[in-house]
Amino acid sequence: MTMIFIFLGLSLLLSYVLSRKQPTLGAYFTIIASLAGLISVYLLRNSVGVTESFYYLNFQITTIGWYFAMILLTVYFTSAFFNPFWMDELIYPAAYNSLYLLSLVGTIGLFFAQDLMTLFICWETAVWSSMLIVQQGKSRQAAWVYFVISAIGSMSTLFAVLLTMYLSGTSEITGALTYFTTAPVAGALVFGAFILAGLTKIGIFPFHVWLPLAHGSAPHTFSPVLSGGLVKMGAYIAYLSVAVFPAYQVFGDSLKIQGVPLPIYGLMILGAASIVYGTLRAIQQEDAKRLLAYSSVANGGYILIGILMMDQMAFAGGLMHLLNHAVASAAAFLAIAAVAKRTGTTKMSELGGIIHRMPITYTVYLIAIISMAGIPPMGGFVSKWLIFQGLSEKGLILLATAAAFGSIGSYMYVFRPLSAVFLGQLAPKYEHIKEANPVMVTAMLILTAMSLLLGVLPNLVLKTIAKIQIELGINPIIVNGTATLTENGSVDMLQVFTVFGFGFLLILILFMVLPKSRRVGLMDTYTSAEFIHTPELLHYGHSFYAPFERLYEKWPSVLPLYKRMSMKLSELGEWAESFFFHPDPNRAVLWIVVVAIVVIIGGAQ
Amino acid sequence: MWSPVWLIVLPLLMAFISVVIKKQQYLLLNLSILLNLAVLYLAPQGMVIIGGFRPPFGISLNFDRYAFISLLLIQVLMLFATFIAGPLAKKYGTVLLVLLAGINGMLLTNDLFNLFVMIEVVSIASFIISTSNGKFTHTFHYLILASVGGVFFLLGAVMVYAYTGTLVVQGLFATLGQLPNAISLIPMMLIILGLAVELKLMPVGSWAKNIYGNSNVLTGPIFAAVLAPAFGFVFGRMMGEVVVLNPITGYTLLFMAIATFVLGELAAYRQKDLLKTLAFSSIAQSGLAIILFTLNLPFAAILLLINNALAKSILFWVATGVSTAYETSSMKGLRGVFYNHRILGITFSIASLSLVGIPLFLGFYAKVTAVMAIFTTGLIWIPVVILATAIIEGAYMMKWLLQLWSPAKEGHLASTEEVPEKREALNMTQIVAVCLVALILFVFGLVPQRVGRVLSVASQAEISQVETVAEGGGQ
Amino acid sequence: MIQFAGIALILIGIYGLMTTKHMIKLIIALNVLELGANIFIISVGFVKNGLAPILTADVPSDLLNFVDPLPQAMVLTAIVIGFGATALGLAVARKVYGKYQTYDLSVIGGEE
Repeated sequence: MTMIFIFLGLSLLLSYVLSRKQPTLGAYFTIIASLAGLISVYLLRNSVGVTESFYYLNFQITTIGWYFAMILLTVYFTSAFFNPFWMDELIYPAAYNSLYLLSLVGTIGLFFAQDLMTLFICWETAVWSSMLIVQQGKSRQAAWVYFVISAIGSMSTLFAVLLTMYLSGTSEITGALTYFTTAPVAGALVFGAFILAGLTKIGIFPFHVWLPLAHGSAPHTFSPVLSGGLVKMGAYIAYLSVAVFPAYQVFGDSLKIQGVPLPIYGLMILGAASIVYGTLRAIQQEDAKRLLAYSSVANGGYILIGILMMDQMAFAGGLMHLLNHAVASAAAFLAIAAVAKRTGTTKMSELGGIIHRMPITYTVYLIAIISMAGIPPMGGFVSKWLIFQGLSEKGLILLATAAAFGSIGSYMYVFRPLSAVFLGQLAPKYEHIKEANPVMVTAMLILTAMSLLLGVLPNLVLKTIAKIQIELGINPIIVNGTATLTENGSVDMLQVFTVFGFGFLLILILFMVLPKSRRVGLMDTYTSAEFIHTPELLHYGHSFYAPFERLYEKWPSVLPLYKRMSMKLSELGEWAESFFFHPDPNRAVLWIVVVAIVVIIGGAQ
Repeated sequence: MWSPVWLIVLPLLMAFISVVIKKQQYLLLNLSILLNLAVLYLAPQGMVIIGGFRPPFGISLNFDRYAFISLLLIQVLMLFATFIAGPLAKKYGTVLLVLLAGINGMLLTNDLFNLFVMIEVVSIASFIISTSNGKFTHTFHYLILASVGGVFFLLGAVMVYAYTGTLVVQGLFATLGQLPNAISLIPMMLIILGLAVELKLMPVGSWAKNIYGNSNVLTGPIFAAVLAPAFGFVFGRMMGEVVVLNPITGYTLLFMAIATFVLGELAAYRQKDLLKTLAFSSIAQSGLAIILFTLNLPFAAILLLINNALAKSILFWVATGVSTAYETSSMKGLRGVFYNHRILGITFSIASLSLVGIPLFLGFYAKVTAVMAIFTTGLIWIPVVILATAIIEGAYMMKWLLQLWSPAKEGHLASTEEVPEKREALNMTQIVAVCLVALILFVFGLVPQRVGRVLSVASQAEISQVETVAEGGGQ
Repeated sequence: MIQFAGIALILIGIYGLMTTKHMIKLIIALNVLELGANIFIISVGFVKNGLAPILTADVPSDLLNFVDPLPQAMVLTAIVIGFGATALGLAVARKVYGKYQTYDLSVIGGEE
C-alpha cells in the first residue's frame, strides 16, 4: 500500500515535469497514474487488515476504506480522460495536473488511515490541493468559500481529533474512538465536533453554500471529481462518526425518536433539509453545473441519512448510494463538460437540441440522470429504495416524506437540462459542432456502463456492503443470486431490467415503424414579419419552471448569512484596528497606563 | 578561546570598525554573522562569568540549549535578511551590527539590568532601521512607545533588585516567589508591560501596524523574522526564570495575549493591503506565542516561534519585493503577479501554508503540539479559541494566495492578458536565498519529529534550576 | 522622600506623554519620565548619611551604611541610553518637520 502512495507521489512530480514541457502529455499521464492506482487498490481487496507505516503516517486496509477508495479512484480515473483537452484553458496546467494527483493521494490516504493524525493530514491535503484546482476555474470567490467552509469543518474535526488523542491516549482510530463508550459526556462533544467536517464536505444544509459555487465554477474537468469524488470524503467521516465512534452507545441515554437518539435524529433532519433545499434550489438553476451541484446537496442528504441509520437496509442503501451517485454525477458532469467543450457554455438557455449533434453524450446524460432520480432499472433506484425501506420500517415518517419529496423533485430538476440542453431545437450557432472526441466518449461510456450494471446487478456491490455490515456487527443485507431481500419483500433487479428492456424495445419498434417526425428549427416560427433579435427567448429552456419557481423564489438563501457573518468579523477587526492600533502615540501610552492601573487595582484586592 | 562572549563582542567590534571603514560595512556585517555561527558551534555550553566576578556581583551569560537554538535561528535569519536586502543592508551596516550585538546580548545575558541595556540597544538600532521605511512619524511613535516600555522594564528590574538584592535571571523566580503577592505584583507588571510593547501585545503594541505595514525588503524581515522571535525568546526566558504570576497578572497577561491573537487576526482579515495583512498576522502570532509561554508550555511556543520566523521572513521578502517592484501592495494591484514570479509564488505559498498550519508543513506540527499541550493545562476553551481563529487566519491567507496567483476577473477563466506586466521583484541570487529558507521550512515540515526532538532539549533548558557554572571566557 | 519625588516625576512624564501632540514636547515628557525613573533608582540604593562605597584607609571595612553602588551604575547606563533615544527622537522630529513644516502630530495626522 505504501508503494501506491510512493508511486502516486512520484507520478505527481513526473506529471509536473511533463506538463512543464508539454501540458497535454502531463494530462495524459494523469490518466495512466490514476489507472495504475485503481488497479493496485483493486488488487488489495483480499488483504484486509494489513497495516503499513510510512514515516509517521500509518495505514490499514479495511473493507470500507477499500470500497471508498475504489469509488474515488473510479471517478478520478474517468475524469482524467477529460484533462488533456482542457489544458489550454488553464493558466497553470502543470499545477493542475500535479494537484490533481496530490488530491487523489490525499483522498486515498484518508480512507486507509489507521490513526487519527494520518486521517486529518490526508484530509487537509485533499482539501487544499483541490482548493487550488478550483481556483483555476471561473471564480476565485468560489475557491475561497470552498476553503473557508471546509476549514470550519476541519478545524472542528482537528479539535475533536486532538481531544480524542489526549483523552484516550492513543491515536489509532478504532481504539481512540471506542474509548468514548466509557465517557459519554466528552463523547457527545467529540461526536459533534468530529462529524462537522463530514457535514461541511458532503454539503449538508446549512454548509452547502460552497457546492454550487465550487462545483459550478471549477474547471469543467474537476467538477465531476468534486461532486462524484471529494464529497464522498465527508461521507467517510460521517461513517466513522456513527459506525466506529460508538454514537448509539454514547447517546444511549438521550431522548429517542423511533429508536434513534435525538442528536443523531437531528443530523438526519439536517440531511432531510438538504434533500428538500437542494431539490428546490436545483429546480431553479439556470446553469447546468450549478444545477447538478444542488442535486449533489440533495443526494448528500440521502447518503447522510442512510449512513446514520446504521441498520440493515438504509445503511446498505446509503453506502450503495455513494457509489451510484458518484458514478451518475460524474457522468452527468462529464457530459455537461463535453457539451461545454463544444459550445463554450453551461448556461441552459443558450443551448438546446444538442442531441442532434452529440447523441452519445445525450445517452450518457440520460442514463446518469435516470440513476440520479432513482428510476429503475438504474443503480440509483436500488439505493434509494433501500433507504426508503429502512426509513419506513423504523417509522421515521418525516424523513421518509423528505426522501420522497426529493425523489419526485429530482424528476423536475434532471429533466430541465435534459430538455433544455439536449432536446428541443438546435440553436443556429451550434449547427456545426461535433460529437465529443473518442477519448472523452470512452470515459463517459465507462461510467454509463457502470450505472447500468449497478442497476441490473446491484448485488455485486451489496455483497461488499454486507461484508462491511458484518464487520460492524449489524444485520447484513441479504443477497440471493440476483435478488436483494429485505424484511418487507425482495427485489430482483434483473427481472426489473428485463421488463424495462421489453418496454424499451416495444417503444423502439414503434418509433421505427411510425412515420418520422419533421425537425423544426428554432427560427422556424411565425412572427408576422417581426424580425427576431434574440432567438434565445424563443428557446423553450428559457425560464423553464417559471410558474413553479415563483412559489418559492423569495425564500431566503443561506449565502447572505455567511456574507453578513464575514462582514461582522471584518467590522470587529476594523474596530480593533481603530481602537487599539491608533497611529497616535498618546493613545498608546494611555493604554499602557490603563493596563497598569487595572493590574494594580486588581492586585490591591 | 571559544566563548559565547564573542557573539556580543564581535558584532560590536565590527560595528566600531565599520564606522571607520564605511566601504566595508557589508562585508564586516556578513563576516561577523559567519564568525558568530562558528562561535555558536565551537563554544562550550554553560554559564559564562564575565570578568571573574561570580554572580550576583558580576554579569554572567547563560549559554544553554535554549539560548543556542534562539541564537542559531537569529544568526541564520540575519544572514539571509542582510543578504537579500543587499544595498539597503549596506547602507545600514553599522546599525545592523549593533542590532545583532544587542539581540545576541539579550538572548545570552543572565542579568536583568544587562537585559534592559541590551533591549535598549536593540530598540535604538531598530528605530534607526525603521527610518528606512521613510515614514518618520511611525518611527517616532515606535520610539516613544518603546522608550516608555524600556523605562517600565527598568523600573521593574530595579524593584526586583530592591526586594531580592540580586539581578541574576537564572532561578530568580524562586526568590521572588517567596515575596508576598502585593510586593511582587508591581515589578512583575512593569517587566511584563515593558516587554509587551516590544512583543506587540494589544493594546500597547500599536506601533507594529505601521512599522510592519510600510516595511521594505530590509525592515519587514528584520522586524518580523529577527526581532519578533528574539523578543519572543526573551519573553520565554523571563517567564521561565523570573516572572512569578499571580492570578491578576496571569489572567491580565493571558487575556491580553488572547485578545491580541483573536483581534489581530480579525484586523488582518479585513486588510486589503498585503503588508498590512502580514503586519497584523505577525501581531496575532506573537499573541499566540505569548499564550503558550504564559501557560508555561515552552516547547510548543519555541516551535511556533521558529515556524513563524521562517515563514514570516519568506512572506515579507516576497511581499516587499513584489510590492516594491509593482509600486503597490493593494489586493487589486497585485492580482496575478505570481504568474510572473512562479518561484517566489511557490515559496510564498509554502510559507503561508505553513503559517496557517496546514498539514505536511511545520506549522501544522506546531499547531498540534500547541493544542495538545494546552489540553494538559485543562483549559479546553483556549484550543477552541485557537482553532476558531485559525479558520480566520486560513481564510485571509488563502484569499491572498488566490488573489496573487490568479489574475482572472471574477466569473471568467483566467487569461494571460490580465497578468500585470512583468517587472523584476528580486534578482536571481535573492531568489535563490529565499528558496533556501523555504527549503529549510519545507524540510522541517517533512521531518517534524526530528525538529521536535532537538527543540525539546532546548525547552527543558529554559527552566534550568540546576546551577551549571563554567569557568573561563572573558578573563 | 526622594522616592516620591521620582514617582511624581514619572507621573508627570506619563501625563505629558498622554496629552501633548507636539513632538518636541513629547520628547521632553519622555525625558521627565526617564529622569523620574532615574531618581527612583537612586533612591533604592540611597542610605541617609551613607558613605561612598569606596574602600579607603580611613574607612572601616565593616561599616554598614554604604550607599549601594549598583543602582548608581545602573542610572549612569540608563542616562546614556536615554540620551541616545532623545537624540534619535530629536533627529526624527527634525526629519518630520522637514517634511511637514510642523511638529504637531495632530496636524500631520495619520501618515500613509
